[in-house]
Amino acid sequence: MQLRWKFTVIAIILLLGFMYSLSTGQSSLSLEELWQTLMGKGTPRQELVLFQFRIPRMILAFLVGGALALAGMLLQALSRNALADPGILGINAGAGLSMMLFLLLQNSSTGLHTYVQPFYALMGGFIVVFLLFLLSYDRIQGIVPIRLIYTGVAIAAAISALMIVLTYVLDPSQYQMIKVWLAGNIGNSNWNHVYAMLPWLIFIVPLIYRNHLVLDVLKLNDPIVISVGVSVNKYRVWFLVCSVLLAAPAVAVSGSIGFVGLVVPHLVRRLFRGHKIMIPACLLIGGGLVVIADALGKMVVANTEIPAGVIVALIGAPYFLYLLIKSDH
Amino acid sequence: MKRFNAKKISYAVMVGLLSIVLAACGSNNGANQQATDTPATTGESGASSSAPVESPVKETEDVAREAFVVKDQVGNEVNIPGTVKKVYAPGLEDYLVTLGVTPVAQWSTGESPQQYLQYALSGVKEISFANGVPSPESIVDLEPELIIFPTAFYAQNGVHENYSQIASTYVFKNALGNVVEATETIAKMLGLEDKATEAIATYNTKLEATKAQLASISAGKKAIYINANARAIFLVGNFHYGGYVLSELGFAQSALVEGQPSANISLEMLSDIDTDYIFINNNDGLGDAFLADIKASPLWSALPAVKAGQVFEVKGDHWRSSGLIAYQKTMDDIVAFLQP
Repeated sequence: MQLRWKFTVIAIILLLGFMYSLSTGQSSLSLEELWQTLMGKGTPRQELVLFQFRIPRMILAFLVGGALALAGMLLQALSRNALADPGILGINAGAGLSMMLFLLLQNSSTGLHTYVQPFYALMGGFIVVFLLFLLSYDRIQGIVPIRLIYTGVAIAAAISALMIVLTYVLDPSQYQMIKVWLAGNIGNSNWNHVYAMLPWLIFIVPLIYRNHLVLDVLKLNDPIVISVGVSVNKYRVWFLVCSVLLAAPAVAVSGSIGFVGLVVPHLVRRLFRGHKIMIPACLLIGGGLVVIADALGKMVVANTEIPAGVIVALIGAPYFLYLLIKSDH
Repeated sequence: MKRFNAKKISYAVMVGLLSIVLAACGSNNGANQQATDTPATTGESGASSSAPVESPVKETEDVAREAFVVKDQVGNEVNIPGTVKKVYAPGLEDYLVTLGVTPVAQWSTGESPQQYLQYALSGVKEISFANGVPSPESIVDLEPELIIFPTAFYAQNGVHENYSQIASTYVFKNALGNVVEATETIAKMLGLEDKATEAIATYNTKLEATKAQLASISAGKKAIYINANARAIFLVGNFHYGGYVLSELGFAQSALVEGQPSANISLEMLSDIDTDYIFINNNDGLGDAFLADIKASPLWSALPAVKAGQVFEVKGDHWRSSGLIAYQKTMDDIVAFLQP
């Protein structure tokens, strides 16, 4: 298929996903009412539901999905390992742990803190990255990709254990709230969450895009990459930092939505060649996946919603296994 | 595309189905865990909040009350409408029923609402808290005029911002730690102060009478309320729930929970339960397996309360709820157990 057609198909699916997301929810809003509200002829209640609840929620889902998919793509490229993603390397867990501490420490329910959340998550994320760097760095070879993965898995396990220890000091309802948040629930998101997430993407994506050629070369063996004049270590650290700057804010506003960072780059690599195209494709497909997952979660059970993270895992896990089985042949 | 044989496809389908089943089990556990505590407590249970509702500037008790502003317990200014007919207060249903108010929707574990209140609330829409505070869309169509959250944990991370766009939203730091004060606060917002005074007086009278009735039994004795769920048993302290009622009735506390809302104990710690009376709640069967393990242990049979036959299996979710109704029902149960 030609590039143009592929993007047309993605755009159509995305558009349908957006429409589906806007038209589903526990409040009744028919397609006709939806259209009228969009045209500015809705009742105050319809406007509240659409403009304050559904649209920011959908946009947030898109931004979070895009950011996580891009972070996964970067990590897979720099580690030369198709299994790398912010979840497996412990970045989500690190961001999650510091968010957990943040949620415990803050008592206010005002919106001011929403903007600060990503910074808390970044602290956790960067601590993990620092450890990753420290433990996978070799004086001669620089960052050793496979060591990066092993270290990441170990750090993620250690942090999960720490989180479980923390849950023992929590009250049941505190624990319940944290658990729900960790499941990747964006049901109560609003514009503040969107504003807290958007700047990170606006700043980071162009920076990555500028270096798309480096990402292409990184998949080759280190000596070859060095021979074409790329400072492998400098870029590995750089992309590692970029992936934290994308993943940690996403974790801060949405909890932990796993699998997006793993599955989407795989799918994108099957469809496209070269990071110049893969970067926008990851953004669109990752974003679209979470938008659709969140919309499906809204409708699955009548009097409760299923967190987007759970639905992504339900869609992502079988697809990933399918890919694994297929790639064996 | 490479060819893909039937065996591989069926393998993939099986793994997919398995992952769905596992995920479903996982979400059930979540609901069950929530079911063990109705509906929420916080770490600061004991800290009685000293900043309740500020008196409205010009509150007239007669026909039409004017709208007024109060500061809630987390510091937000809340506009209280003159007349409040439609209230949504998840987890505070006991308080509302006490005041004769039917909310627009009621808290639920995802499987069931608070059973002991269904004589007054059956048919009221249930909203599940199994996956945390539901999205604001779940109540927007019910058009509440006032929303009240029992704990600050319910209101954080965007929830307050969203719900307060639907209606004025009052947030307690923790309403369940001081039932009488919370009842008064809610009554003030709803303009039902007289009803609250009456209900609190009835409660106090009953408390004093029950305390006097049990005086000979409780004198110098210790009692503990144990809540068991699928993964653990909790000794409940005297901040809320059945533990609070036992303490109010004059029973001394076990040292194991002193100063704590609850304490999670292991089998090894069983022998430390030094109380004269034990009240156990199996959470509607959820804790049965774990309780069976405990009862099979020789440590259990050696406990003073067990030897003396003073172990009582309590039924009903009022034992794990806070509110004047729950507490009075719990008192009735205790009397029935100790003075049959």
